[in-house]
Amino acid sequence: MESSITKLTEKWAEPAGPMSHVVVSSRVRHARNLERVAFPPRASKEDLRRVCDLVDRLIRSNDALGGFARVDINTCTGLERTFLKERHVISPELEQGGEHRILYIDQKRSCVVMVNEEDHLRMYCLRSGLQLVPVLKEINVIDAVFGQSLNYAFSEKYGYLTTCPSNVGTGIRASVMLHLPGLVMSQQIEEILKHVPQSGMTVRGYYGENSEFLGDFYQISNEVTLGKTEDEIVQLLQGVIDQLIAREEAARKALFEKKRRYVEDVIWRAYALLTHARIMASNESFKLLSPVRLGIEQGYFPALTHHRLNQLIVAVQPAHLQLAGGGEIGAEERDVARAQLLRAAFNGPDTQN
Amino acid sequence: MSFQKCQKCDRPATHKFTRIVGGEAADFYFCQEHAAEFSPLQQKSGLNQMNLTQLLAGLLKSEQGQKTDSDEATAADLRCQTCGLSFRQYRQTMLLGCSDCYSTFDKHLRHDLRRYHGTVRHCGKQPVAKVGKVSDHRQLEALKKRLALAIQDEDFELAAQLRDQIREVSSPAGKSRNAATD
Repeated sequence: MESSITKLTEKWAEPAGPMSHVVVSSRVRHARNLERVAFPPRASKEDLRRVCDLVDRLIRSNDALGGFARVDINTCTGLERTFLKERHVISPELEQGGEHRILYIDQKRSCVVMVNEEDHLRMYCLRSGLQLVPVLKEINVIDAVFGQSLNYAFSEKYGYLTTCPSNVGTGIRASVMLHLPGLVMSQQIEEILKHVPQSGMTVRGYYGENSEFLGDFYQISNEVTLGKTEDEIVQLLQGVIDQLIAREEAARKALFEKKRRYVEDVIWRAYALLTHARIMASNESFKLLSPVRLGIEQGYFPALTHHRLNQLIVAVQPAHLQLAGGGEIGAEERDVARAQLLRAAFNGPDTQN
Repeated sequence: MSFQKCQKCDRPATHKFTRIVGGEAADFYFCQEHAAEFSPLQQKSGLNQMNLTQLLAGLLKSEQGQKTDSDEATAADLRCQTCGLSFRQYRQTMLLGCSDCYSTFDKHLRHDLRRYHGTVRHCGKQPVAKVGKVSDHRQLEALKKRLALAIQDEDFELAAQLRDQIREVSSPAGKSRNAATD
């Protein structure tokens, strides 16, 4: 089971995508419920099982869905669920576990279908870099295949009927994860983020809804799902993202022009710790990996790419360290393992360091 | 643009809401926490401890003519026949029980939807299985557009045909036939 989870997700969010110096990933998610079955929070076990069976039969019988591998969340250990969350495959909600909750993952298309999370179906496509339009296109294909065979709960008035009215209508959540160290360092971030809600978008932390802000990463996603078409929502988000990218690039340029010594010092100090420390806590690793990620485009670290660094950030997360190491380990040991992994990643696997 | 502070506390405002109050557009500025109070759908998970019904009732007192305490109070005992969810339970979790809840709680949901999304009408795509059975509403709009163009082009024969089709779709017989195929 252990190795199958890591195997099933080892190519997740590959390959690297465009605008990777600022954009980590793009994601579009559709929320769908089936008609004539109670929504998951209210559904009986039989209801939930029925939904799982319906979806399973559809996926097995339809060639277009042949790339999906199945994972029963209930058979995953806590560590495996956390691993999946750290990898941005499942939400913190699904990380809680529970019966009759199935995960389908197609690495080739970068798509996931979650069964019986808050809605019967939550399907999304996630890709690295800025790829909102391709990602929307891909998930629409999956949605069409599902919608052809399953009876979606839908009303002409309100659109797709989701469990929470905050998702009703299109049921779409389009989001982009950005790395904004320039805006943070030049102390513009609060002002900028304050304006985001005014354009109908919302800002979330590293793991999405209700998660904390880590490593200068910010997820921008649409707030409203009703009254606009899917294309309009994605276009609006794209517009906001384009503006944020421009602001971030300008902030970085200004920092390197006017405060070069300060910025270089922050970056190289971070690098020094990452390449030499023997103990490294998760929060600290976020704080250090962020400036190093900023330094990549300056050419300071020829062996590193933005994409590789994104992967490294995931690899030093607690569940990742433990699954790689073969089992649960205590916090102190994890911090040592993290430091070890970072030194090897930066200095090379044969490092004496 | 000047720096805005939350109207309930002194922290920086990260959320701005525009609402119609007493017939005029008003802007409300809140920090994350007070934004959640103001618009419950904003952040449902942190709100289980609060009595949302009371919160909303208090807030709604300041919006004349839209809803009253008694509306919310009578709504609280409304129950969906299909899944048994009560409106009070919905208010506590902001989660609905089944598709029929949308019709059971229609009037009150419209209020929530208007506050959160600013609208109550879906205009995005439809499920694949249902496409082809175009709704009255959209069909009518499409026909009217084509009629206007036909008149502009002085294609009166086409215009007459379209006018007849519009009459068909708008008539009670046409409506019920379309509803049956939906």
